[in-house]
Amino acid sequence: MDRISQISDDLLIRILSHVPIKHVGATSCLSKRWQHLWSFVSNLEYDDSSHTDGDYTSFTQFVYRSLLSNKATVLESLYLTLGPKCQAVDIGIWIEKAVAHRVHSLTVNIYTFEIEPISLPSSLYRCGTLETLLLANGIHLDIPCSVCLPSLKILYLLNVVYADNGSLARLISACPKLEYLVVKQDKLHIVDDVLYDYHRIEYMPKLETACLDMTSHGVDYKFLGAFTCASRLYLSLPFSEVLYSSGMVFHRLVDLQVTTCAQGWWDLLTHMLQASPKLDILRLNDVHDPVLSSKETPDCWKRPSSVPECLLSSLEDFHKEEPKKEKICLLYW
Amino acid sequence: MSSNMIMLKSSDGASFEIEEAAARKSKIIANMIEVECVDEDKAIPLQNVTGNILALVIEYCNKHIVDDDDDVATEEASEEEEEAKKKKVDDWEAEFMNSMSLETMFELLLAANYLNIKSLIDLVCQTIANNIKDKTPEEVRKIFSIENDFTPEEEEEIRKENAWAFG
Repeated sequence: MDRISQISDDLLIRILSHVPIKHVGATSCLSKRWQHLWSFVSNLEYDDSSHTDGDYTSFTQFVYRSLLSNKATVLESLYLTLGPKCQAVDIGIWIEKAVAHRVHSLTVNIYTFEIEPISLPSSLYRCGTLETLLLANGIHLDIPCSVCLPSLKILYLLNVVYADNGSLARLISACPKLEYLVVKQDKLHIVDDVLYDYHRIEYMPKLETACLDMTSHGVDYKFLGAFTCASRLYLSLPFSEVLYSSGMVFHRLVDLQVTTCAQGWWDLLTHMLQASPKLDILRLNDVHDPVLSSKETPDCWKRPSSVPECLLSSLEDFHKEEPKKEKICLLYW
Repeated sequence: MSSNMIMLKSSDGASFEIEEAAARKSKIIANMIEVECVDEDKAIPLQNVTGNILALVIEYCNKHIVDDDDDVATEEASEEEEEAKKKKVDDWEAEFMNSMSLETMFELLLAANYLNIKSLIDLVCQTIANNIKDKTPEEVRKIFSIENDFTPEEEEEIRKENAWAFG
């Protein structure tokens, strides 16, 4: 095998660039020649879900060590796939390092909504060398006015959270070379603890799926009216009397899930059944603490004047978490 | 597309006839053709490549004669057609690489590097990488004929530094 000794460092680095970063780090102990070879690899891919045992800090330390000691003249690509334990400050430093390293391709996927969406450093949006950018999930897209991505050709924005109405337009108009754009929003997810100015949410005629989890806020007629085009709704909302007289119709709604923990959920459900003529699937989701179970008892349920249309025609599937309870549709008969 | 044939001669004297379009996969040969230093009657001598390796290189080039160069033509094909075509190439490449020993792979890598065939370099690098990623350092040393010139203390220290990577 003496031909192997003829293989240049460049070729060995090319081989190493195809090895997952976790394994490539281990080649540092092979010999003195190999000790620093892996730090020239120009594709870096970090995924904290492959870090299953031990302390999370050992993962972040490894990212710092390998990224900060990287000696590739140009960083071809950096992939960050990170979950609920990641810290915005670390991600910011890693991305700034990549920008300083003239990164060509960057992927950031924060695969969790358990933490507040993360803002990326503004230097990213002024990176002159970036050609491909993919941002996905728990990322707060706040685009600075000084945004300028002169080399960007490919842009993916998958389920990111837009900081304001102008963010997307500002970003796209700052990419003169853009050839390929994918903007995907699978579902609208609104929760209490994310900073939405929900009074400004307006009617969305293209909306497919929305998840509204706002048990500590009162919602008004206008707010819920914005979602009347959705075909799937997941509601965890307190009920307010104003909905009775609203006359709104969820004319495309086929799949409804109601959480049975918010104040007045029973009345919300009654109202939704009345207002959803095409409903196909109804799910009641009992997620709350058993200690609080008395709150869910509908002690003053207002019987509707007629049987909802969906119960007469389309409703086919009914799921409930607690089998002990009587099927609600039976109460109408 | 030109169907001119050109001759290649390996370091151990074996001659191979190859379509010009396939030979152009090699940047080196493509350059030679551009500057017209290829004599139709004479074989191009490739001093760093033996006959058995050159046969593999030619097999690879013949298989990849159409793709790469004709982006315009492929744009018209449907997505499914594209996918089916890509899968066919992937399957062929997997079988092609599967049929050779690790030693042959290294020889092929050196030849691809010498002839400057980027896609073949990437293919061989990927295959070698797949071969070493789950191996222990001892096994990797054996594959690459690496002599461990660390003292046990030095090796221990490096392992500690990159603890996550050894997890």
